Amino acid sequence: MSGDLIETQGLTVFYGSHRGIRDVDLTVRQGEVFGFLGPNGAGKTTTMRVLLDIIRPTRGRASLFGLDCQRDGVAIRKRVAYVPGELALYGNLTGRRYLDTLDRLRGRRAAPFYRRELCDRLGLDTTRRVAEYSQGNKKKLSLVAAFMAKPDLLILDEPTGGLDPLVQQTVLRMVQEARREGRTVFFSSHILSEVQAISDRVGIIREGRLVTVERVDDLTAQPFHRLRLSFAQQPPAEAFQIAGVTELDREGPSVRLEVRENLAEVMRIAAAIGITDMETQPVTLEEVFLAYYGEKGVDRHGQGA
Amino acid sequence: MDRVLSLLWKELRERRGAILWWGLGLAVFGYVVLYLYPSLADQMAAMDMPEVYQMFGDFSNLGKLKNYLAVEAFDVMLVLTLGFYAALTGSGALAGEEETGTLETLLALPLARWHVVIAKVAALGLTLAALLVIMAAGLSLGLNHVASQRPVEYDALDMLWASLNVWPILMFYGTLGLFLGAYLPSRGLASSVTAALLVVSYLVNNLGRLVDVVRPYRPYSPLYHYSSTAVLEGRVVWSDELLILGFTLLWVVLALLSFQRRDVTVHIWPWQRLSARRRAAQRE
Repeated sequence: MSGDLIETQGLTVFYGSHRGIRDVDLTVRQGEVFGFLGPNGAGKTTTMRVLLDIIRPTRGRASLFGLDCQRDGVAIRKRVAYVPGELALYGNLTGRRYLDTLDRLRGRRAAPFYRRELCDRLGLDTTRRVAEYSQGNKKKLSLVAAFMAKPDLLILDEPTGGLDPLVQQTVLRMVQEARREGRTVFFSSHILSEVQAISDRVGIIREGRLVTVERVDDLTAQPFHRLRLSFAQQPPAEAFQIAGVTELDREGPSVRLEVRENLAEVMRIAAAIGITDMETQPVTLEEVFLAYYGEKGVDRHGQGA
Repeated sequence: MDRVLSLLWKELRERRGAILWWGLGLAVFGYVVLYLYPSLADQMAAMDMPEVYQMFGDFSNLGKLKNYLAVEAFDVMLVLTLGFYAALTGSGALAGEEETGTLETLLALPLARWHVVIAKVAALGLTLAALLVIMAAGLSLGLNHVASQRPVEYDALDMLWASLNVWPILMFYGTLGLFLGAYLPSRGLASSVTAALLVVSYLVNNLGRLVDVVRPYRPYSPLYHYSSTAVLEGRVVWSDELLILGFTLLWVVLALLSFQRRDVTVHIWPWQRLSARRRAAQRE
């Protein structure tokens, strides 16, 4: 086995005539946190389900720990824990009994103190019935069930969805701790900030195709800035018509710009007009995605995605 | 094996409410049926309705305890009602969990798919057996009441065997539902088809006793091979029992094969999956 813990080659899934994923070649290295990015319906969950042998590929192959996902599914899943994105838990059990049940089905007992610690950190009351849990608490329970087993690989589908910001931070810390312990985390998200915070590398999937795998630093080195500039009075219409600058919209004395080059010139013009405020605007994943690959899926090198 | 037993235990725990309430209902039903027997026996003996007798079996006198039990306790009520329960439970065992989403959690654990199917079949079998045992308890209590008024030729053990005699035919429909749940795209479709087959086989078997056009088709009805009186007469028709159990085994094997190939959470017909595979192969 090489250092690649997850490896897929030409992985393709069709649901009848509908596209799931197409020709996904992906490697995730041992001990890294790999963020899997993409809008809803892009194929993130499908890829994860194939890795867990919940869905069989139409074509291609997938292996974990050097073992074939279909042939050696049981051996693989002994070393993997999964948090599904669409949570459905056994509602008639209490949280504690749910964790006990998963422990037994996994065939090994998680350390009770570690399990308690995880519950405490996430603020989870395990004495209540799962059916009475909010979506957030169900997510917490699912996270405890995954982390308590201390698996070699954690597959987390939108692990912070439905959690409040403080708990989200705790989950991200738990992921980082898992990495420090040498475990591998493969997680999906469409929240760029959390991916940025904890991932070593990211893969972006769009319409079922893996369009890039990059280090986070490279991904976040955005090729543009997006600014909102406010002035004492409305600036002239042609003020920012310079190379590399696109005026997105204007609202009274404010202008929104996307600046790919000539940032210093933009600043000089703004100062000359009489700038009163400047705000850099956060970029959503969708915008980064479009900036990198264009509306038609053409990447920044001009190649079709 | 430990994991299969753990899964079986989880399944049984989930069904304990159903076992309790269905069991209670069946026990009360069994008790009431026999409680009423002493006051109905003479009226039923005096009834002269050969078509009705024939429809429910080859009975000449419903005033006899054996015939009364066969019709009132072990025919329509038990086979149809528990048959529907078995069909719905069987079709929901895999397809129901798939629709609620819990099957995804289960299959992400180190369980082989056959572990899941075997645990589900075992849970279905034990649940049905438990319900029948509870019903037999109700019948036995009712039998005590009958025995206090007139001599009876049966005891509690006879009630137990007569109740458990229904188990193979219930398993037939339960495992058929399980197989269809693993093969068809949705639970609704699987349970509808299973329930419809149960109704059709009931009608074919019972109407076939009266209607000449239907009569030749009776042997094709699974219920033709179930006898509500055989155990009460102290005999077992092994050819029928083996036929029903053979088909039950066939449904289990087909459920195993279908579930092994199933793309869980996808809800498509098997041939859609195959045609996607063929198209992908052609593109290569």
